[in-house]
Amino acid sequence: MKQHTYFKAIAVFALMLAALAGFAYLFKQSLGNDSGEQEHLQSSIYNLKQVDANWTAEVLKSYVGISKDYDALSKSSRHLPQLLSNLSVDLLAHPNKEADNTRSELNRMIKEKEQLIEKFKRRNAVLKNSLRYLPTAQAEMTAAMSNESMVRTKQINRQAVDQLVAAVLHYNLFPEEIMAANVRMQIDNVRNVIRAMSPALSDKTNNLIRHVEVILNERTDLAALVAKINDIGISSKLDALSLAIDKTRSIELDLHAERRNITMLYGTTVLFMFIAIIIWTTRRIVRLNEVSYNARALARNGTQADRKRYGITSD
Amino acid sequence: MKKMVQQSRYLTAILATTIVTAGGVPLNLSAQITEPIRPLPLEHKQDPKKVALGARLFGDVRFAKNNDVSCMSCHKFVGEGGANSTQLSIGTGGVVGLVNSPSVLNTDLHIALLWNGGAATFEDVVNRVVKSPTAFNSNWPDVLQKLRKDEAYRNEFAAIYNDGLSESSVADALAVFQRSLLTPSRFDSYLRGDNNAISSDEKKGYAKFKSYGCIACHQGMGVGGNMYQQFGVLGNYFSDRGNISKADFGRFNATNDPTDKFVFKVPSLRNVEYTAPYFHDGTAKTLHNAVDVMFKYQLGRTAPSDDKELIVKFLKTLSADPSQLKRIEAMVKGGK
Repeated sequence: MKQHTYFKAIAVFALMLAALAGFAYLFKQSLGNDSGEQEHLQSSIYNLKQVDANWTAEVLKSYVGISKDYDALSKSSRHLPQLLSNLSVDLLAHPNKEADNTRSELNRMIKEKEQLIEKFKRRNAVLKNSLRYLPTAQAEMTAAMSNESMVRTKQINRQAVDQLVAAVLHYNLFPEEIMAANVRMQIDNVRNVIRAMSPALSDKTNNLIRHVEVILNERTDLAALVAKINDIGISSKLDALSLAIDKTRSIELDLHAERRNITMLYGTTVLFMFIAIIIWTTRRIVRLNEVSYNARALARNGTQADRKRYGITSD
Repeated sequence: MKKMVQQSRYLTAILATTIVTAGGVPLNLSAQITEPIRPLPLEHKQDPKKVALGARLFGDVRFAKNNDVSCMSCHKFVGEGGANSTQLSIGTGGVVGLVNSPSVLNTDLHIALLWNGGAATFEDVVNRVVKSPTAFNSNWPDVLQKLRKDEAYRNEFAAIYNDGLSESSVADALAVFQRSLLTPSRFDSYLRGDNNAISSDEKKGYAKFKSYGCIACHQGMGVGGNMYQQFGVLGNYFSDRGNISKADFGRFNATNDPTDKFVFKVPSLRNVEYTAPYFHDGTAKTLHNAVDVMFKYQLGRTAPSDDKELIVKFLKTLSADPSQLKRIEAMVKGGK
């Protein structure tokens, strides 16, 4: 009888322990929701967007001549891949196929943009060099023409050179085909008058034409390059990544809410079970005490026949 | 009212102090904003212990397979500005390299490292140089084995790095040392507002440097180093020189992009006075030769020799104080 009670107590204790462990597990699961981590991810994406926006702005500033050096562009070239790499490490904690694909795509886009920007820097430097040379070339040629003996030839030559420089500067402002055609016409015009020039002047004129041709080629290509750089949608890709992360977050929150509900239901059930066990145990103790009391009373006051009937052997 | 005036005076004083003494030295803000060349920071931000350790490693011949050359064999400081006076670099066993040694000074400002920009980080360069057959021709296990025999190294690395003396800690120490090699010059003092730091001829040279268009590529804090450019924009340098080698393909060797053929990182002109011979092929023996080549092939124009002379004078204002180079070399030689 005593052994039976002992095993029953152990079973009840084990059941209570299992119920508590289950509750602890579910409780822990429902806590797995770090909003700080989420904010950190979104902040990293925001930083990336900011650096990318500055990168593009620096290209435009260099293009129009506001920025006079490429240090800021180079800094972004080094900074952006580093930021993306840090973000990739952070994203490992939130496995998401869509976000992974977007991240790979971003990596490719940053590399492409970097290559285009390097080309931009190269070509922008060449264009600026030739543009800078124009006034010098014009002044040098005017000075050299002053030595020409024929006044009429001098006037024709000078006019041809001036018109060429004006045409190319105009084209630089409005790089359209009609302007380019005008520049080509002025080049032909200058080539026609070169024949009448002295060899020294002819060399200078050929050099001027070389630079004008550089401007003619580089200006349109550079504009196309800048447009291409601008079109690389790193920012919209980052928005997509942000959305993908938000989506994952939303799924995580739903799951979390579900887990919390289960935990609450489970917790309530366990609580009721505990209360039931406590009530049952209390009633049992009370009942056992009553039996023990009755036995003692019988032992004290009962007849020999009563004792024998109830199996009480001692005095 | 009186209080407001006092407050505005106080704010003006704070603002003026901030503007005038930023960085602990007088600062000419207009120069900072408008010039295409910007002054170097007055000091680096690297850990001095790692710098000292990296300096010792920089002079250590145990990196080389034959224990005969160190990093400093190709990158000397006093009189050579972090480069080398031989036309092409010379590696272990006397093997002649493919390119002229570029300067290691101020390279932390560069967009990438090596002539073709093929290495993104200093650690990458260290790794390449250790293994390159034309440099150390070795491998990390051998190098580490040799270095670990040195008790002083073992102790110093253990004190500074969690992983002690390892491939990554050795590369890091060397990288930190190279990042510390910033060499402010007289021209930086001029940019910071000291009008007497350079002579009137040097100022004229700077004006010529800008007006002739050198500045289109040689700009920024490094006076170059932050972009790539084709060698021979307005003339075919390589066909005129002849004997085209693989090294002449420049950046193409790093990217495999055909448009990168004959494209190189624009070298920094800081300390250019000391770093002859010039270009990746080391063919320009003097600074005047180099300026001539640049005028012909990059700028596509001629200039009077007086103007070139002024430009050379300006370029010499970009040199570090010789005492700083002596200090760096002494730090390197302080090791084994």
